[in-house]
Amino acid sequence: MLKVGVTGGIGSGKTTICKIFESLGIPVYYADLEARRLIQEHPVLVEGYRKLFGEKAFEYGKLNRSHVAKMIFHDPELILKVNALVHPVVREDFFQWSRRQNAPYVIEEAAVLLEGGGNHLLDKIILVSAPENVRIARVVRRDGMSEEQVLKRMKYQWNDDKKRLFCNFEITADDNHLVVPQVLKIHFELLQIWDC
Amino acid sequence: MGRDVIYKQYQKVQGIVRLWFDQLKQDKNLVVFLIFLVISTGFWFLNALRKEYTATLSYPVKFVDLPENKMLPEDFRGRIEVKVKAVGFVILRYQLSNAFLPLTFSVSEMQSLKTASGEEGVFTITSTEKNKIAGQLSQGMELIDISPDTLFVPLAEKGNARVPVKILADIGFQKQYLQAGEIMVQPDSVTISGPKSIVDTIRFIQTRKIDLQGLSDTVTTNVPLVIPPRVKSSVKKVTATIPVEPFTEINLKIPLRIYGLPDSLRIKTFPSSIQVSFRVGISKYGTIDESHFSAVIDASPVLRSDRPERLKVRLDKAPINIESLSFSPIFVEYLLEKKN
Repeated sequence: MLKVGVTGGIGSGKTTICKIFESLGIPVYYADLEARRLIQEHPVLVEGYRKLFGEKAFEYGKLNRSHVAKMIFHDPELILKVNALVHPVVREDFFQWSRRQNAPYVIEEAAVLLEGGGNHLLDKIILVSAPENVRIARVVRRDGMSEEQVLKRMKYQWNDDKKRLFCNFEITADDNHLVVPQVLKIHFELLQIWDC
Repeated sequence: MGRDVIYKQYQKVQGIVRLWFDQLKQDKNLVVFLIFLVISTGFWFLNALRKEYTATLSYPVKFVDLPENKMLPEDFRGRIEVKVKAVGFVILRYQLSNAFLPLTFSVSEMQSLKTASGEEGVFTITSTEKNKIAGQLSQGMELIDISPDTLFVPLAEKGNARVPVKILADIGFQKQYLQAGEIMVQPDSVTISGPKSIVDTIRFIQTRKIDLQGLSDTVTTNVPLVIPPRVKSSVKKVTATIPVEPFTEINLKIPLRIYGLPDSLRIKTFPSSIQVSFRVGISKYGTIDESHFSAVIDASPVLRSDRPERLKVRLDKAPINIESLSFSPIFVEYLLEKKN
C-alpha cells in the first residue's frame, strides 16, 4: 500500500481534491481534523499542551482555544513548539489508521506536511496549488477571516515554489483549470506504481 | 454695447424732464393754468358719470349642484358678456366692487345634452335666465342683452379609486448599516378623484424623491405626493419610515441538490456544497439558517454528447430580507458513475 501526502497552502483546495480521491475509493486521513481530536484525547499531547500553555489550556476537558490563540499571538515561536509536539503523534496515528485500510494507496491530507519533514515517511507527495489572491479570497469567504489574518497564517507555511521541490505531482486548483481530470491522471499513475 | 446706448438715452430723457421742471418753476402762470385744468377735468368727469351709458360687462360663470358622478373639465372656463344700461356712477362702482364675483348657475336646473361625438353636458338658453342674471346685477342697472345666447357646459365623468402610494427614494447608509426591511408608508394608499378617463389609468401615486444619505438610524419623514394634474387626492403628504440597523455578514454551507439524471447514473460534484454569504440586519440574526436556502444543479446536460466540463449551480431559494447575497462556486466539476 502506498502512502501519499496531499499538501497545499491555506485555501488551496486540498479538501476538495481529497473528496475527489475519496469518491474514487481512496481512504483519506485528514491530519488537521485528526490533530484536533488527538490534542484532546492523546495523553502525550494533553500533557504537552499543559506544559506549553499552562493549566488553562483545557477547560472542562476541552481545549481552551481562545487561551491558546492568545498565547500564540503574544509569542509566535510557540507555533513551532506546537508543531514539533503534534506532528509526530499525528503521524503515528496516521500509520496506525493506514494499517486498517484496504486500498492500493491511502492519502494523508495536511496543510503543514513538508515543514515538519513528514514527506520522508510518505511514498509520494501531491501539491495542490493556487495563486495567492485566489487562496486569500477563498479563506476570507469560507472562514470569515480578514485578509491580514489569512496573510499572517500563510507566513507560517512554505510557499508553493519551496513545496514544489519536494512534491511528485501538482494539481492546479485555480478555478480555471479543471481539477477532476488532473486527479484522475494522478490516480491512474499511482495505481500503476502500486501495480509495479 | 446695447446697455451703453440705453443708458445714454436714459440720461438724455432725464435731462429734458429736469429742464422742463426748471422752466415750470420759473413760469407761475403755467402753474396756475395746470391747477385749474385739473379741477375743471374733475368737474367734467363727475358730470359725465351722471349720464346714462351702455356698457358690456364680462362675468365669470360658476356652476353649482353638479351630479355626484360628474365634474367640469379642468380647462373649462365659462364667461358671459352682459350688456347693461346704467348711469356712469353705477357702472363704475359695480366694476370696482363686483368685477370678480361670478354669476352662478345651477346645473341641476339646466337641460341635458349629448353631442353627436358622444360628449355629455347641459345647456341653458341665457335669455331664459335673464331675470336671474338681472337679480345678480346692481340696482340701477338695466339688463339689455346677454351673450352668448346659449351656455353649453360639458360634463366629464368623475372617477374615484384607491391606489397605493409608491415611495421614490435615494437612500445611503453609513458603513456597517443597511435598510432593515421595507419602507413603511402611512397611509399606504390614497383615494384619488378626477376625470374617470385619467383616474382609470393611474395605478399608483408616487412621492416626491426622498434623498437621505449617511443613515445610521431609523428615520421618519413627511413626503409630499406627486398628484397628476386634474386629479385630487385624499391626502397631500404621507409619512415614510425607513428602518435602519447595523448588519452582520453570514456565511452558510448549502448542500447541492441534483436533478435531471436517470436512475441508472450517479453523479458526484466537487465541491458537494456551496458557500452562500449575505448581509442581514442584526435583528434578524439567528432567524436565518441553511433551511432557508436551496442550491440546485440541473445535471441533464451531462447526458448530451457535448457534455459540459462543469455544471452550473443555481440558487433557487433564498430569504427576501437579506442583502448582498452571493455564492461560490458558481460552477462545479463532477464525476459520473454508472450504478450497478
